[in-house]
Amino acid sequence: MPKSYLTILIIAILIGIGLIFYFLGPFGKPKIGSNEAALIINYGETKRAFIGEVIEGMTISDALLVSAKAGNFDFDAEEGILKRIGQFEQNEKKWNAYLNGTKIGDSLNKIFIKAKDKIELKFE
Amino acid sequence: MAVAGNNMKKFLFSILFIFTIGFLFSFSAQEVQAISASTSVSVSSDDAWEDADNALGGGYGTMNTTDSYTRTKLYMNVEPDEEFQAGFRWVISIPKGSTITQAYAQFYIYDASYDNIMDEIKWYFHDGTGSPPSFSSVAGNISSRSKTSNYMVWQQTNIPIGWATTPSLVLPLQEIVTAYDVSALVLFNESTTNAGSYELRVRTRDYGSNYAARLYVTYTLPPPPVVIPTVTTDIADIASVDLSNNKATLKGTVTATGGANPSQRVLEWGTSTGSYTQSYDTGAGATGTFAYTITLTPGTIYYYRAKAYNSTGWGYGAEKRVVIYLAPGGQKVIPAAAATTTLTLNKNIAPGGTVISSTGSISCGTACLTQTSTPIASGTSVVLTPTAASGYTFSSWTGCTSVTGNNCNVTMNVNKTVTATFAAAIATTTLTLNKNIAAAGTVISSTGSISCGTACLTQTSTPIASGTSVVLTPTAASGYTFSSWTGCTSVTGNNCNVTMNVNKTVTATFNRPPDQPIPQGVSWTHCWDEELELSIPMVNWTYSDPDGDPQSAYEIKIYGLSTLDATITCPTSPCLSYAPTQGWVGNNLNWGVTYNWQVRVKDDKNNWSLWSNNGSFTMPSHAHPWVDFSWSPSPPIINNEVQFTDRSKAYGGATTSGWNWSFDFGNPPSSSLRNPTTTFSVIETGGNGVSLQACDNTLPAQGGPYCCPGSKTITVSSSLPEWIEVPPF
Repeated sequence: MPKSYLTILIIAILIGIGLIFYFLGPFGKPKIGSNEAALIINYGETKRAFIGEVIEGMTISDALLVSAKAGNFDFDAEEGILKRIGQFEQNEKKWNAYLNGTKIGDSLNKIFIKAKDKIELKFE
Repeated sequence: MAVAGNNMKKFLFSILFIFTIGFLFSFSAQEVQAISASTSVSVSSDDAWEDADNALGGGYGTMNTTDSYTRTKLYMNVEPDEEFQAGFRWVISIPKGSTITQAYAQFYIYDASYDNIMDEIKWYFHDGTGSPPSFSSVAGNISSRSKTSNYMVWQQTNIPIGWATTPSLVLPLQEIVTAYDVSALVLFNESTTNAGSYELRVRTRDYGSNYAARLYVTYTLPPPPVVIPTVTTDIADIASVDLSNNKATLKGTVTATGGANPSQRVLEWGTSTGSYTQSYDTGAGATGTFAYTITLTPGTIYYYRAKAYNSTGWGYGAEKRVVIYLAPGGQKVIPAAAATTTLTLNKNIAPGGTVISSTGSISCGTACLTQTSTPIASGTSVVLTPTAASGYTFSSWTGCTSVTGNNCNVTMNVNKTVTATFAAAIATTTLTLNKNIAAAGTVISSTGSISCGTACLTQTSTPIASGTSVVLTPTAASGYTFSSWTGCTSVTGNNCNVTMNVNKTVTATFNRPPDQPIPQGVSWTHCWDEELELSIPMVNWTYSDPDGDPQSAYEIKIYGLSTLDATITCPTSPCLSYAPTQGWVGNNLNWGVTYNWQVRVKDDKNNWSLWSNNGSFTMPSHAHPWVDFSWSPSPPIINNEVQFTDRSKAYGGATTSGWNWSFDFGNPPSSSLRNPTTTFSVIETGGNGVSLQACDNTLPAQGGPYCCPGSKTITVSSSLPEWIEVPPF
């Protein structure tokens, strides 16, 4: 194989690997499908993100529940008010919920979500 | 009230008064005394009446005594040429021949909207003789009774609310009194000339407001009737100087004129008893002696008597004799005094009563002012017995030898004169006091005639002069209050004012305190939604009042401590329970201690009951458990297992030792484990209920175990799509 071909092949492979990392790896930005929503848990110094399908009548509490199942963490909420996620139990800091950047003051059980919504739970 | 001929709508008010009241009058033959009488309509069904239908002779009706509406108005619609009647009843006692100087009626207008027009009110008096006419018994016969020809016309417009006074009723009333002894009056109306709708709303009876229709009459009694003169034949005088001339002076005395001075005073004589062939008229005169000297034939007995004539007739003295005897030898002598005597009775008032004598020689009726007996043998004892006429009382005697009771004893050794004095009875009334409860208090009267203590339930006064104002003052006994009066003319504060024009009855009502309350069981509040170490007792009691009065307040004492509270006002009656506040219990009651308590209750008349007997309650040895639990995951997912965790707390050294869970649509639906699991198979609208009763290990000897319930509603989530974790963004 001529050297020039080998060089081109190596470059192509590197480009392909880069593209794979860009779209699928930790450096890629996940895409939210047209019928999906996202939930981001912001622990302060770290974050976790979840996406999935939105069905009719689905609430923020439901989104947290399916995210917990996907992320293998547990949480406590009373009357739709979030008290704890994993080891992060509110004490001096509290768990606040934002929907598309707007703070939610109501019970999470009562807030319905729709496709393309972005939910963020901040421990702050 | 429209006058005749105008176009205003006319109202005809027809009123019939019948009124019964007894009046006693006093008068003497010598004086005329004005008597004023006023009275109000009474309360029987016969005291007010109306023509309930249209024409006279139609339906008559007595007033409804129980319907305040019909008792307070009289009205009817009048068609042309029809007669209508309505009115009130009074009965009044006025002697025949009295002179009416004032008479009018008053009645209270209470609704001016119906009294703005009246027309041609004619009042007629029924003669009222005999029993008082009764509306109920003579319903259809009123019109058949005689009526006066005189009447009174009343025309007045816009009669205001208040007392309305009729024009003078003197003329028709005088017409009756001139002809009759009036014992009852029927005052009523007829109108045949003015058609239309006539209405007047007045108070008829006095049922507590003193608004009953009134009748005022002032009159003077008739002068006493003229009777024949009373004459005595006196013993003839034969003076010694006349003896030689055979002359004797016959004498008589007019002791009473009979109400009219005699126009003739005559001495008549003859030589046969009862046959007087000669006479001499000494002329007119008043009381006093008159005389005439005649010439006798010695040896002949002359019979003579005195007599006098007034407008009523002749009054005669008893026959006497005079004679000049010729003694043997022709000497003239005057015989010894006759062995007979006469007894003359005088009365101060002829109609005051009758007097009869035991010998039958005196029988002086109510038309007789004086009477001289037929000759009575000297030495006879005569007893005179007086009997007072109605309205009078016998007072005293003068001239008697002795008096036994009301009787006059006279020994007839000479001619004698006695006088019986009668007095007009003073009109008196009695006041009867009733109390609803004897022991509830005392009542005394201002006149001293009523003094009803706590052992007295009813008392009738001694006679009280008519017209007297009496004030009755109640004083409640301990534990009672004075409540109200009925029957008073007016009430000032707690005092009853009564004007005694007729016999009256008043009733004082005192109020009784509520019955002594009876403690009932104690209700507890041991369990709380929040974490509280507290048990609150709620005490219960009974309430009843013998007068049916509602409860207004109560007072509680819990002993072993300071007195709990002062008076607590009842928000609604009755209030039969009380629970102290959490703060008071926390500060004052100790665990495991028994407390006695008492209650007393107050009615709305401000009377307190006695304190109840002791009730008691024992505080628990410590607080009951506080129940709480949690679950995971939260929220639970349908058809997925949920772990429940008991977080309940026990107090006083106890520990939770028993649990009783219940899960709505859970599998299992219940559990007695401390930390059970279940799986919800159905999502309930509004959440699935979970309840837990937790008990501690308090021993039964201490009343344990202590248990409390707790419950929560859990939102169970449905099955959801699966999400994935992605890199944070």
